[in-house]
Amino acid sequence: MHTILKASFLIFLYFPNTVLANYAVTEKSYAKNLNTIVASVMGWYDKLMNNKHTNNYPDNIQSIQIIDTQLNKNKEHFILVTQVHFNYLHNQQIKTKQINENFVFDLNKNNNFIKIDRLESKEIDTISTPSTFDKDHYQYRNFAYKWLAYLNGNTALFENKINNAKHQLQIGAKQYQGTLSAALSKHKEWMGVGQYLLRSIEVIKNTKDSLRIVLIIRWNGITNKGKLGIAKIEQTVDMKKEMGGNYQLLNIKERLLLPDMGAWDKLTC
Amino acid sequence: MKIIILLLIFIALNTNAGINLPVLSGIGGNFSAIDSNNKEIQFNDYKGNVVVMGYGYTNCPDICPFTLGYLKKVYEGLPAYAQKKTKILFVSIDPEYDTPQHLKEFMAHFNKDFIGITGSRENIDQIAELFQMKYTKIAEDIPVEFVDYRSVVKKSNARNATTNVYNHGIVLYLIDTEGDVRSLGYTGTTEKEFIANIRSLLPKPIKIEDFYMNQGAKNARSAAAYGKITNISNAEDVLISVSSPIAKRVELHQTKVVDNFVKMMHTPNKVFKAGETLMLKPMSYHIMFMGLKKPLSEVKVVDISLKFKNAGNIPIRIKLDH
Repeated sequence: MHTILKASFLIFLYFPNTVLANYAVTEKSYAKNLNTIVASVMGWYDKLMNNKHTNNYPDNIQSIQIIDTQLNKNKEHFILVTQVHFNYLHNQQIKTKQINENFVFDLNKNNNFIKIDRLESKEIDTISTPSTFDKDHYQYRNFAYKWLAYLNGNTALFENKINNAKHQLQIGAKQYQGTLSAALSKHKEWMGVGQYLLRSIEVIKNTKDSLRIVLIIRWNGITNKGKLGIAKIEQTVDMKKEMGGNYQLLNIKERLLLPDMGAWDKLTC
Repeated sequence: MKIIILLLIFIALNTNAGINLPVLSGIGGNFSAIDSNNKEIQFNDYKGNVVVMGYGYTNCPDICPFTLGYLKKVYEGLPAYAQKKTKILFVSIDPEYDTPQHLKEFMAHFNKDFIGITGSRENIDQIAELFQMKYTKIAEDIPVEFVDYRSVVKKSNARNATTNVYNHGIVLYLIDTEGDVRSLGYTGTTEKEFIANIRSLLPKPIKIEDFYMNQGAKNARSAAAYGKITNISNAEDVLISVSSPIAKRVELHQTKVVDNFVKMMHTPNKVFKAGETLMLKPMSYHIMFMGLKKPLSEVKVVDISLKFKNAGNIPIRIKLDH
């Protein structure tokens, strides 16, 4: 162990950029796993709200509010511990059930959770949940986190035709427009290796069959000069709704904004 | 293995004396403009220097004079070597009124080294787009006497002189020697923090090489360290003090033979001329440790801090092989 440590010190002393690049890869892998897990859970809640009758969950779910989560990892699995309030319609009355359960993931297997362990399920006093935690809420977030997992390197969540989407990129004075994969290569060439984490989603419904969402993403990683880097990315994503409820990605327009440094950075005089 | 990775991450993130400002990716880039000496410049001309860049206009009735006054204090708080490697740029968003000559007079009011940036409206718009500067014109052709009640330098006393009035952001961009934006500040950032951020982007002006310890007898209460110290800056510097957690007192000493007697003398406030190298070796200059807190045989790493008047604290780390 002592020898390995010594060797690692030497590696860092002589190849600091290699160590920083490895750090970026580790962070990216974390972001890939995190977004994959959250996308699966969002997709699960979306599915629950699509069906009137579901096993082990109340019928006629009206809204779902996540109260608490914690991500744990053991040797083989990631485990997302959740505490969730389900508001559902029963005899024309809204009732609330609190369900605590663990989603167990094996990310080497098909990118999905392998089981759900129910810990507790109980009726509680009805809690008024904001109406925004509805089916659309989870559907949009399912897409957003899947998209973030894709950007972080999990390409298995989308079908191949995602690359038909056009990606318009503006990074400082540099601009590029092309296929998604070509744009992502340019992104790496200009910005380096890093992780993408979602900060906010603004949904703009266009028509019945199409959708525009604006994502604010925090990027952090290692630039091509070997320096730590951060960025605030705004992506405007246009999608078309397909048969079966899935969305097809049409266009992504990406630009970089001034990162948030403090309340003062918005001040003008 | 986990421990090793965590350790390496920790080391990688702490290589710059505690301050490691990330690059604000996608912000900034090269541009063309005219400086306050009426010369055509490219922003890339300033590479090799740390740049602090703000924006505004000379008829600004409130924040711009205040911001430049703040930058004057920050600049004057930098040691000489850092001032030479730091450029303060003020981009005018009112290039029609702020001619190079007028900007020069305006900047000189704060510091003659400050550089005003003007040019065509296209030049300014390009800079604003690259750096995401926010400004909007809120009034046009306002008689100057109505807006310059707090102006520091009047361009004209002509009764019919007019100007524009703008609403603009207050961000100060801190840009490293390679042209990468590393931080955003404003007048609310403490001067001390701003100065520390600037200094973190400049190479240390003191070079340390080949340091080793003379470990002496097993239970000795004192020890000495030797090596090479070079002032690679263009300005004289002074070694004010030396310290180390392993000893009660640490000083720069010089051994001299006087009247056949070997004498060891404390040399306080040792001056290092620009470019000067001091060799620390036996029977000459050395760092003297007095009152060792434990025998060196039990110490694996010796940390030393040299405090210079201009360069600040310069760390030295010596690993001991027992």
